[in-house]
Amino acid sequence: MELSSFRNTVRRELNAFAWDQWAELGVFAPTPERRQTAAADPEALLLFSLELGRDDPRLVDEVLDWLRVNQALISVHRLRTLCIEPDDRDLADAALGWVARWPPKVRPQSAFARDREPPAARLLFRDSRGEVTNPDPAFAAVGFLKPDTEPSRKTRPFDPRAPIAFALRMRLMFGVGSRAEVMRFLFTSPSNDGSVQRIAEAAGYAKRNVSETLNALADAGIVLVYDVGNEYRYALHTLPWNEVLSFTPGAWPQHRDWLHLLQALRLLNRWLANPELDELSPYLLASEARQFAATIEADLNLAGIATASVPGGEGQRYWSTFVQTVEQALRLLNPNAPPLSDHLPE
Amino acid sequence: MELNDRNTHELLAALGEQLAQRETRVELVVVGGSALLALGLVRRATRDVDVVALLVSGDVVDPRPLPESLLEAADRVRVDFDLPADWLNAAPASLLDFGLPQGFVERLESREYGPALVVHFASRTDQIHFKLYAMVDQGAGKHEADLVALAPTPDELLAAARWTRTQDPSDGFRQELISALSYLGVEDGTLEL
Repeated sequence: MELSSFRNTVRRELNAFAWDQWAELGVFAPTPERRQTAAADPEALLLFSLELGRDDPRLVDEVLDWLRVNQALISVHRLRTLCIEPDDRDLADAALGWVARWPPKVRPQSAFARDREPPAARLLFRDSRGEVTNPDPAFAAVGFLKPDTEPSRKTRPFDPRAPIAFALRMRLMFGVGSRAEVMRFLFTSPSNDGSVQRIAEAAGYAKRNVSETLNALADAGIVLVYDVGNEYRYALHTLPWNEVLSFTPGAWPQHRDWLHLLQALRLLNRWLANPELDELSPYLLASEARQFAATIEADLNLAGIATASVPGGEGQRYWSTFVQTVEQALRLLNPNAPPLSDHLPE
Repeated sequence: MELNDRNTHELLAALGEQLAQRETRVELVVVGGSALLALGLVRRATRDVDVVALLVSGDVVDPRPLPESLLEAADRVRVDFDLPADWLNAAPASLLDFGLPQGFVERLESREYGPALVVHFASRTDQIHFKLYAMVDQGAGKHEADLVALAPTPDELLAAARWTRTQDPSDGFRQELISALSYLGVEDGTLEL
C-alpha cells in the first residue's frame, strides 16, 4: 500500500472535479467532457478549490480571477460560515483581500476584517521551492507566502441558464443571501420541499435565518407550508416557474449536497497533505485515518454517504474501510472515478 | 472485541506504537488472563490487560493512577480495536499492598513492543500464586480453569498457598484455602498452613 499513490489519485480526482465545475462557470479551463446537471455551490466550491489550489497554483490564480469578476454574486458571510479550520478562514480572507485589490468592485474593509492575528508565515503552495521574494500582500496578511500575481483576466461570462450556474442565477434573481439559497434548494431537491432543519443544512445559513426566510416566502405565497407530525415542511410548486426559468419539466438542475461533501473532501485533502503520514506504520496510519474520519463523518452522512454501513475494521484493517469511504465520496463527484482498491493491502 | 491468543500481541504492539507517537516509554508488569495468553499458557479469551505494577529502573512501582500518556495511548487503541473502556487497567495493583511473591521480578518474562513499550509478564509460577488467591478470594470459574490449565504440582500449590496467606491472614480465608487445595488434590494443606 503506497500512501503517496493513494494521495495522488485522490488529489487528481478532486482537481479534475474542481476544474470541470469552474470551466462551466466561466473559469479559463478546458471544456469538460460532460455537462454537470447539478447546481454548483459557489462558496463551498471556492473554499474547496482554494484548498486544492495549494497543490495547483494555476487553479488558485484562475479561481481568484473568477472571484474578482463575480464577487458581487458571492456571500462573504456564507463563505466564512463554511470555514471550519483556521486555514479555511485564512484562505477565504486571503482571497477576499486579494479581490479587494483589483477592480471592478472594491469591497469595504470590513468584508475581510479579521478577528485574530495571522499565524506564522508559511508557504501557500505546498510544492513551493525556495523563497517567495515578492509576496502577495493580501495572502501575506493572513500568513500565506504566495508570489504576487496580477489577475489573469481570462474569466469569461458564465451562462446563467446552465444547470451548474443555478445558484448564481438564483442570486441574480433574489439577491445574495438566504433567500437565494432556500429557493435553490427548493427548486432542485427531488421533492421540492423540506423541513427548516434540512433546508438550513443545505443552504449554509443559520436555522433561524432560514426559518424567517421561509416564513416570508410563505407569506408571499411563493412556498407552501404544511405540517407533518410536529414538523413544519415547506414546499415549492415548480410548474409555474418552468416558463420563467426556461426549464422543461424534468430538466431542472439537481440538488447535490456539495456543501457537506466538498467540506469533507477539503478536509480530506488537507489531512492527506500532511507529510508526517508517510512516516507512519500501517497501524498508525489507520488509527489516524479513523480519527480523521470521525471529524468528517457527519458531513459525509449529510452528503449521502452512509459511513455506518461500511463495515469497520480493527487496527490497521480499518484502512480498507477508510479507502472504501473515500471511494464512495469520489464517486459522488464522478461516477466514473477509478476504483481505489489498488490502495488496499493485499 | 476480546483479547485472545491471536490478537493480544497485536494490541500490545499497537499500544507500543501509540506510546512511541507520544514519545513516552513505559514498562508494564502484567498478570492475569492476558499474560497467560501472551505466554501461551491458556487459550481462553479475556477482556482486559491487568497491570499490577510499572517497572521503573528495575524497581516495581505502584501503577495507580496509570500515567496520563499511557491512558491516552490506551484510549486510542480502545477505539481502534473496539475494546472495553477499561481494557488496560491497574485493578490488580492492590496485590502490591501486601507484597508480591518472593523472586517475582526475577521470574518476569519480558517482551518489547517497539522502542516505547516493554511488557513484563508474570511467570507461570507467579500466575499460580495469583490464580490460587483469586480462586479462593473471588470464587472458582475462570480462575479455577486457568489454574488447572497451568497444571501446578502440589509443591507449587503449597508455595502459592503460603503466599496467599500474606494477602489475607484471616481464619475464614484459611478454611476456604484448605478446601480449595483439597479440591485441587493437595490433601496435607492443613499442616502446611
